[in-house]
Amino acid sequence: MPCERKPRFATACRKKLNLNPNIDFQHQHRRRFLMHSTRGLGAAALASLMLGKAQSTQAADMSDGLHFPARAKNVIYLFLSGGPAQMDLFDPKPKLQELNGQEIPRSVVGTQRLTTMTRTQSQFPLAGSQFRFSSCGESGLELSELLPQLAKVADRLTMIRSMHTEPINHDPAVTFLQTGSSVTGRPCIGSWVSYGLGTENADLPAFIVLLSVGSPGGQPVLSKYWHSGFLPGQHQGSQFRSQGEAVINLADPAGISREDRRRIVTAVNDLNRLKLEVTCDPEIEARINAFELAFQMQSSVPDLMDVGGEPKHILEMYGAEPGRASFANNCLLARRLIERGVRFVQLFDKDWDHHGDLPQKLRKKTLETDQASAALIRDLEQRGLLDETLVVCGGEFGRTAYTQGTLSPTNYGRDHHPRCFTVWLAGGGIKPGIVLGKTDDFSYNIVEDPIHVHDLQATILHCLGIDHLRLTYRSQGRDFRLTDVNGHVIERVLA
Amino acid sequence: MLRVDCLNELRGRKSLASPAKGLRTGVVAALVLIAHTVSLPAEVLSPDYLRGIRPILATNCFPCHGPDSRSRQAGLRFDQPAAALSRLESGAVAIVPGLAGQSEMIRRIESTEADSLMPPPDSLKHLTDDEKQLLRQWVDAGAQFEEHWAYRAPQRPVVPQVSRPEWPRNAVDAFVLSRLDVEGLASSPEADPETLLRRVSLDLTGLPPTVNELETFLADKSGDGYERAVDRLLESPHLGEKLTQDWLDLARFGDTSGYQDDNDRPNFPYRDAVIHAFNSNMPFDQFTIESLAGDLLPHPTTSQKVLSGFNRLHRYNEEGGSDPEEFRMVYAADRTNTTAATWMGLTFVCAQCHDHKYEPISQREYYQVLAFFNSLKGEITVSKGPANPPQIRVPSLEDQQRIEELHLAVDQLESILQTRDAETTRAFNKWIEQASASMKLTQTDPLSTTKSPDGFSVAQLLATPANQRTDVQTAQLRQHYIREFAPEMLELLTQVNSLRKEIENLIQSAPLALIWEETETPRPTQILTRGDYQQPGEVVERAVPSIFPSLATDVPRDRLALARWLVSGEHPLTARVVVNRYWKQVFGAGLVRTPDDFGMRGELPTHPELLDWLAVEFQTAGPNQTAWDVKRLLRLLVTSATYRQSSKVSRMLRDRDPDNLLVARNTRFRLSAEEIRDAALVASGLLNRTIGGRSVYPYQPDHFYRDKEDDSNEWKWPVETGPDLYRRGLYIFIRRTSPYPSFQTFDVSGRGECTVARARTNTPLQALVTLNDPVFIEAARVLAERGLQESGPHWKDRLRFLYRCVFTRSPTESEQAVLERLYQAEWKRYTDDPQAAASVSRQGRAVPAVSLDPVEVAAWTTVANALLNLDEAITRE
Repeated sequence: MPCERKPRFATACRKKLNLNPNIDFQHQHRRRFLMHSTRGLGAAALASLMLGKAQSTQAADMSDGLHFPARAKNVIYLFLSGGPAQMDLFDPKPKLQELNGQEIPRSVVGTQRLTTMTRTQSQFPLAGSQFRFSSCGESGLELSELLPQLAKVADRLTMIRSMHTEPINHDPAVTFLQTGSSVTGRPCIGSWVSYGLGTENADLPAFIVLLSVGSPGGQPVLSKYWHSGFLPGQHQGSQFRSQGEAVINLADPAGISREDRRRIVTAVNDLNRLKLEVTCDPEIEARINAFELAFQMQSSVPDLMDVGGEPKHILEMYGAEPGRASFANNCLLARRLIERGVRFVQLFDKDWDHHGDLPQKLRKKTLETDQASAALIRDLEQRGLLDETLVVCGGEFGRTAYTQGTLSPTNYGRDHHPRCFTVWLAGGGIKPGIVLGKTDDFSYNIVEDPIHVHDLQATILHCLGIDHLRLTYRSQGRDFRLTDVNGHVIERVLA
Repeated sequence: MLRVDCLNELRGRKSLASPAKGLRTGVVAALVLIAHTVSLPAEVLSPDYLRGIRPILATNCFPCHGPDSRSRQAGLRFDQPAAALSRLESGAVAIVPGLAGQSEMIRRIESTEADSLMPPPDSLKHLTDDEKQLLRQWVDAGAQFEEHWAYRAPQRPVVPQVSRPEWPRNAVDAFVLSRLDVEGLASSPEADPETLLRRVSLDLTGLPPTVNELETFLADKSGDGYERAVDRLLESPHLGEKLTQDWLDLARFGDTSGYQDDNDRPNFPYRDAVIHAFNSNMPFDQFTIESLAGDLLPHPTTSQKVLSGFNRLHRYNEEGGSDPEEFRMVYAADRTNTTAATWMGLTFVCAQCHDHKYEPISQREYYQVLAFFNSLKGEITVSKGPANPPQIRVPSLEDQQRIEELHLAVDQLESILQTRDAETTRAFNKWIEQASASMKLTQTDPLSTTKSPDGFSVAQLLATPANQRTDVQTAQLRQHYIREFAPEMLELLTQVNSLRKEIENLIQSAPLALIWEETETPRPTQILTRGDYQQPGEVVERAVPSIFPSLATDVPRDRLALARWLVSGEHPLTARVVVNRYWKQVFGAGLVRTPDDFGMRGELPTHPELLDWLAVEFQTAGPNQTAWDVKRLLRLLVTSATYRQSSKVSRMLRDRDPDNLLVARNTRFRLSAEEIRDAALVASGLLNRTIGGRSVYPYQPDHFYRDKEDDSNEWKWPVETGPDLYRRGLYIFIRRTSPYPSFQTFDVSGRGECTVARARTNTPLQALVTLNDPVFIEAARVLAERGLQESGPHWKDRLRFLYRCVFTRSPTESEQAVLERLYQAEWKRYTDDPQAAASVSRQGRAVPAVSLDPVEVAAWTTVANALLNLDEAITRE
């Protein structure tokens, strides 16, 4: 087990590199990165990576250690859980509107499987989108009328309309997008990034998850989606909450003040130091540091999570209100986290699973998300952060061209559709204003440039300077990677 | 000094530095470790195949020239000597023993041209110069291949002679010491008694000793007090809990279905049956048979059926729209992989989509094994909730007793009824004869003029000639007769019915357990192309991989045969894998450091002879000894001198053997998530030691499920109000997709799939748990109260008491000094702020000791909080 190998490396590396032992433990995982990718980062990179924010230099200086020059330092991933309907939002299909109500041609459906929810339907009438699309910005990107704010930053976006995935149900599909495998138990993308790059801010975890609250319905979002699998536990996503305690057990209990806590932590560390002298166990050193960091987090995290101090115009730009845990608040928090050096921030927004009443539900969801996601891009840009932050937005699969349930002039639903869906990217490393891939007239099959989930994952890692083939970890006798045995970097979307 | 490169070779891994030095066959494995200081003539000796050569081949060559037939290039494979030495399609020979210069392999690995270089540059694999040199030497020396050690059955090695015959307490020590002799290292002195007691208590029961247990132990001057303590612990019911805790990680046991909806799927009778099996020391072969095939035993008992639920513990997808066939195959594969990992320490899972890249297990063989697990009755539908047939109701022991009593009572009443029934029938026949014959009836029997309550006229029926009465009419008359003339019969019947009803109620209210029931005929199994259920291929029959001994031929090819095959004593892996796990339980790391992988890519055993000796010892019955006796094995391990060594380590020894591969000391390691909480509960005296029962809901942050609870009303967390708040971690409800948060922080396994070994991390979030989690705060407060109530009045007495509760020892002077400072500062601070003191002294739901001064309670709570946060509190030394 990796953990059991740790002490040896802790000692060996410290000796070799003469590192300050106080900042040592947070970086053990990066040592492991070295250990596991024998031709990964070199010792020079290790030294620079290990020094944390205080001594860290520009991203370019880290490039010796990365597989490629990093184009982005951080990632904000907006996960729209449930599977948004691509033909109502991102992938205009006039033909589909024209053929509204007609049976989907057999030749289009082919022999592929359907879910058991619609498999037994006797008819599969096509449902044209009820929403108008128009060209936006200089690039002429076509977006649905449901996304008026995103339309205003259209020139910053890159649309991949030819995404496809393997699973047809939510849980395996979310798991697949997160971990590269539909089987539970592998590390998710944020954990891989944390493992590979660590954090730039010693006071905060490298991988933080934010959930929108207040949107009942939809598939539950589960903590296993940000699990580190077989990677060491510190690479697990930490869920930060904007209501109640930001992190579980962050607050001191009633009657224990900050001064009490300071004295207790000091006593704990004094006693641990005594123990260290007797036992020579490097784990104790790590624990002493963990307690200092925990103590610091207790005051830094609540400040960080309080958006009340943001200027009014920023709050309005996002549509955020202090004290809420909305998607808008989380977009703003994502920016604050990135500013503080958090490597990977993932937002989960649920209830995008529109089997019925799609027009009405999609209207509601886009009202909650359109303004904030556009604001995030603008805000990052005005702070000069967009260049170093990769923003990704999308769900786990797409939805069918035919209706699930009854088609009426104002209403329809759509079933799961893994054959094609849309994801957009913006920011660090991405060439803006392009559309990649093409689906057929029904947004049912891909006709140009299919992009697999593993390709997207490889590309995200690539933007961060990581070769997806070389970021590996051995478990049960096999060297695992995020992209399993596949994945190609999508060169055409790279800046 | 033990160098990193040698350690890597010990692991069978590529080394970081120069691997070539010191690896020579003909030298005992142990010599590898010192050889670099000894000058050996390189030209006469070959590099060690298993340690030096195969790891290079496996990592760099096997993917295209290994067991996987589909990805094999040029018809060349290096995993089989015959193939590696024969002429290739191209006419070249990869390996010509003794002649590196004529070997195509050597030419290709040393090539400077990109298109002939091996491994090809685009494979991202790359041989170092040292590795190339090593391969060349090996070919020159004759290219000796060796079978993978784990596929050869273990033979009992001779117990070695050692330098200090007085040190070994049993054979374990002889093997360990003989290895240390070779290294020129000494064993460590015995740990002090307090440490030893805490260690062995934690290792065997998962609980630290109580102050009473410590005092009894220290007072025992008989000389074999330690052995006595071991015997007590081996008979403690908490031993079964500890063994079960570890087993449930393998068994991927949880209380919910584990996919997205993750609804409750209670199955705790399984957990309790395992505890019972371990506590009653069921031999491990029997346990294996009941786990894999309890249902196939003749007349299986309830407990055997429940244990057969092992193969039902995988997650279960309830999501609407999912394809049952897809998941049926997912579950069958899960059972196959779990069985392989648990009993064979092998990564079968790799052969699900293609032939295994490293092990001699083909995809076909994978599905042949899967075929054993493919015939569960009724497994077709996707359903939500607790109903998940096949299941049985398993009443508690108390209820089972009550049910038996009730059955007895019913039997008694029924025998009375039977006698009465015969009498009644005679009387009835007589009555009916007389009554129908005599029409005086109407005068003597007032009822005859009225209708019976059931709506028929008795008189009319009686007037009907006997031979014309229907059976229904006769029955009606009998009913009438009993009501009027034999009411005691009715009473008896009512009694019987109510008893039966009670039995039925007890059974119906009993918890459900998932069990296995085999379909009448085996379901056909097809090889799934690329593991895809939509691409079924050739049909295969049940069989075991050919690398292993064959299955018994005179019995049906079912799970029972498979289970017996695993524990036949001929299987090369089962006993080694199991012994290695128990070694890991008590030493912190296995003799094979990759307990999840005994295959080609796993690490080689640190003490191969010891592993084999233990395996053979474990699976063999001796005089007055049962085979597969888990308690006997544990006793052997923890009574060894090796185990009793101190875990203190000199800087020299730590630098030389940082991972303690040689066991020249015992090892400090962090406790598991459950043990950390249990230990705090023991220290405070709060622990509720009840064994078994439904899963419990201790403190969990409010709205922990908030993000899901808006739409999933099945997700409840009804926090306990009574003593169930303080049950062991083993009993805490496991919601597989959202485990108990503080456990998650301490690396608990997710129970989504079979977990052979948990990580042991060290993070700031863990510090937040032990500092602020309500469980630990309450434990600190109650521990403080105990100190104030149960020890002398001086602060030193109190501190000493607290130390004994938490660490099973007394504090040193310097420790006292640190804590005196803390105590004084806090006492002053709470004296100034009685409100804060009152808050602290009321932490948690345990009833506060009102007679105590809140200021003292608060000040000592901060001290206790500090103690429960120390490294030593969460570490076994």
